[in-house]
Amino acid sequence: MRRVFLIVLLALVAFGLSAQKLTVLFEGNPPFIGQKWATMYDRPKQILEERHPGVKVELLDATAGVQGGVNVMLESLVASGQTPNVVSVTVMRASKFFKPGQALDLKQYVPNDLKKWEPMFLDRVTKGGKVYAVPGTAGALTLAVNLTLAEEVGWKAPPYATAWTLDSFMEYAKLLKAKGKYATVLFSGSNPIPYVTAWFASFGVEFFKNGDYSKVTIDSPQTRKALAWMRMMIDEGYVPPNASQIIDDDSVALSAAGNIGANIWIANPPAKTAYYPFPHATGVKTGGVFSNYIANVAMDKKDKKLNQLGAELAVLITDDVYQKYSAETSGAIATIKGIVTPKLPGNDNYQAAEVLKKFGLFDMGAETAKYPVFRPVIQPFLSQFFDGVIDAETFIKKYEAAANEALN
Amino acid sequence: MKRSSLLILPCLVLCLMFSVVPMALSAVAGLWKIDFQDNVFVGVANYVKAFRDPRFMGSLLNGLVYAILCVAGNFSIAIPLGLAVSDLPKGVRRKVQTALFIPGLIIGVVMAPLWRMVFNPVNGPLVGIFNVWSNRWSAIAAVSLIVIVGSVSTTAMSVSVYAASVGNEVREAARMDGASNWRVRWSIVLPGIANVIVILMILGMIGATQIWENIQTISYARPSFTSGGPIWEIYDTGFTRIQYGLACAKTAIYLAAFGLIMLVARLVKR
Repeated sequence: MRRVFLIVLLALVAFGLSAQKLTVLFEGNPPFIGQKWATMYDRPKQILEERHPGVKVELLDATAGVQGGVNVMLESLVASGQTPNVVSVTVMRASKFFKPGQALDLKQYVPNDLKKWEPMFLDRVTKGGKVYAVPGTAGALTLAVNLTLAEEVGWKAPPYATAWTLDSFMEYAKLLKAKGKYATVLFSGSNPIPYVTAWFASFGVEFFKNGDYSKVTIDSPQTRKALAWMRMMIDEGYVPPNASQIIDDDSVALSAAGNIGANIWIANPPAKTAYYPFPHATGVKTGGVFSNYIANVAMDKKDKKLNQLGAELAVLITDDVYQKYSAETSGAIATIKGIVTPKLPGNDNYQAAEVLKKFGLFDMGAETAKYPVFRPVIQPFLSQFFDGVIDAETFIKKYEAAANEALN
Repeated sequence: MKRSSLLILPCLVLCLMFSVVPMALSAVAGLWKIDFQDNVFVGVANYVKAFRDPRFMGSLLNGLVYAILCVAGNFSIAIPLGLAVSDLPKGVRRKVQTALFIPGLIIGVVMAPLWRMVFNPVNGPLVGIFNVWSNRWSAIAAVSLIVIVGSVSTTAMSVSVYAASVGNEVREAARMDGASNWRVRWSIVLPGIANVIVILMILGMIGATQIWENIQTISYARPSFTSGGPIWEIYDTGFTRIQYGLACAKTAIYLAAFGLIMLVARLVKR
């Protein structure tokens, strides 16, 4: 009996030693309701372990209560030589690893799988021709128009997800103003990126030119036009007063109270709402939308077999099965071709999905590792501009200098 | 070494491990540009940057103003209230003390939406009279008011508990000599608990320089980051702007400034 026990023990030890362990670091693990897998990350773990007997996948939740907690955990693991095989975090955090030697070029490992993804999204995680991640489902911030209010003031809104001009928006704004309502909310009491700065897209402003995220490039006629428009909106009362002191929550509350004609947040849940790209100035092709998503990065473990498994795992996490489930249950926007976000009760995300797919993304560097550093820089300068303390020229000069100092 | 000195050893070890060592590590970390992957030694560059950062230097001054306003406001209400409660008959006093303690149980973030509504810059009830977030000092005063409202009843309860410990026979003797109730409170009871009040005030001042929650959830350091306290500023540098090395340098400077103030206070006291 003792001999049998010893043999079994040795076999278990040998199996344990031979088993290959992969680690996935993620932030949040939503349940997979009504499916045979308990959570989002249980599924790829189970599938990979079934496909490759002897392979064990360890799930590591980096979600922390403190902002920055995920960053700290992720960076500490990397620094201590315990880099996870797959890092499944927001693209902003993941993009830090988009370089040779850190993240794998997935084209070398899973080229056929990558063909399933929308090129528009795959482009965002491609640097120097190397695909460093697979994107999960996306979220979009588009412009929500309160149709109930539009009807009330006598303005006929265009069909959802269609391009519209700033002139058309201003017609609506004038009607709203006449009824004591506001066209939108400009604020800088809390961080205005991307909520307020998305309006820059309407004028064709490019925060970063040619994908060079090392410097901000807003010294342009487009920026001057955008700032002049914002000044006019404030001075003529098309937006609520005290813009520099309004915070994001105030903006949401004002919209929910039915006082705002169009805002980046849902205007008023009981009211009818339609989603659009940001209205565009003459000569500007697209309005702006902003999106964020989870990117699955297979880290380079300097071991061909482990790397292959890591790449396979990265694809499995947000593959078509997951994205379809996510789109159909929560209205998420799929980044894989052919998955349509359906119309769900009380959820108008299908409109935002259409806006995103038709008009693309406004690039404010949100997918870069430097985003947290770059993002807060604008706030004091925009506040001073809103308050009339500095003019457009000073804003551009001061902001660009400060942003570029922060980026470098 | 006396055997009794050994009794402080566990406390000393914990203090070293969880206060002194992290503080020293923070000061050292301030010499690095940290991103956990390619950390770069930058010498005193972070310290220079911190000293040249008007936001940070302003936050140190703000911390001092918060400490003065919060402690002055809190104790100017809590002391008379606590003394008055201490005179109540025992049964009633206990009930009042319990009632005073209840507001202290409400977490600041729960109250945040209410305060945001009160000070809302677009349609708040005060906006027609004065917009508090339009000016650094009024924003600091508003946050201090929020802190005072949240802490005054707990302080009053503490004062009443300590004041009640001053014997009834002393109070009765003073009253027999013709002292009014308030004369007894100010001239007999208050001096009797003065040391405790001073300690409460020092703790209150330390707490006030570390205001974070109300800034993070209500004021957002408006206008334009000018009304933040030092701890909020350090948090924002480290965890919002992800500049860990700079945040560590700011922490070391904050601790040094704090230590300097304590040292000066001690010298003045001598």
